[in-house]
Amino acid sequence: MWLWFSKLGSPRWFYELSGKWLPWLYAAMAVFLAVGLPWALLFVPADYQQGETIRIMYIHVPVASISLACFPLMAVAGAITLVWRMKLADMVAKCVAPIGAWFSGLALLSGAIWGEPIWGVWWIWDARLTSMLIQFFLFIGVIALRSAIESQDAAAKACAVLAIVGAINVPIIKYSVEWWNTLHQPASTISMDPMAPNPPEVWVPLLIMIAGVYLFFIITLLLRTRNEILTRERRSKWVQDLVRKG
Amino acid sequence: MSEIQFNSIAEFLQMGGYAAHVWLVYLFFAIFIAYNLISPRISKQQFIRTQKCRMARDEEERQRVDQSVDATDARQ
Repeated sequence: MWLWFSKLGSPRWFYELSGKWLPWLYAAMAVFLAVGLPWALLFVPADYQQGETIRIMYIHVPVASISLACFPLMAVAGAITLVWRMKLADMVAKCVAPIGAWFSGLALLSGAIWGEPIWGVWWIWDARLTSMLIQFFLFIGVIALRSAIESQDAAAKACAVLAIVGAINVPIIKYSVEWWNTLHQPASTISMDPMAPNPPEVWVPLLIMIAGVYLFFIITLLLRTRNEILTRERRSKWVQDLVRKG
Repeated sequence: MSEIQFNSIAEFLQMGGYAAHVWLVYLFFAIFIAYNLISPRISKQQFIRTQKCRMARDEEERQRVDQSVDATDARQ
């Protein structure tokens, strides 16, 4: 376990291993999205209340749920950076911040576009929406903090602390729809019963889209982390050899 | 899996009167996916290009220093 952990901490080892994973991840993502997108757009029946706008759910829910995974990931990577000084963990923490900002931004945008016909408003200071907006600003804050501090070590520590403290917002976003009376609906339950409000024909494509978007998240995180590895290790012989070949 | 919910392409594009909302979200999603897959690849190419130039410059610098050291040695 420790051997694996220390090996994973080696940027070169991670770069080579992730290079082998990427084609498989691309293929799996393509399959899930190629099934999920046409299913969501063509085959899912229109909702009895929301009509065809229900198709927005197949983008909004995967993107919003994955945006919630970004902050805990950044906090865990930050904690590993603080405790074990693992370089790779800081690289992951740095790369996940802009991805988290993208996911939170799209969740807010798609939610606003969905809200307009259904709620009659683009935006409302509802607990779920507000806490998600705070998460978006926290990601921007982490990115700004890192770029404001010149020393790489000091920036890593400051961002790790902000990520750990900021992670408190995640359960607030998740449970906001239960703790407060929000306009945003609570999480739906899934049922195998075809007569239930959420039958399999509604949630199976959603699960497929969540899997596809998760794979996309992993791919884009790997791509950014691999670039960060190359930048930080540019003076090492293996990167110079790679540049000569590239 | 149920059958296709639309009777024609026009009906599919109209999305029950919510065409602007539904298609805008899918357009943003497409931009989001494309940007986040393409931009790291462009950054990597840029890194390799910059690094190649830097390495070539360093190599030239090293040769110049070596030559000047050789010339000094020869004079002595």
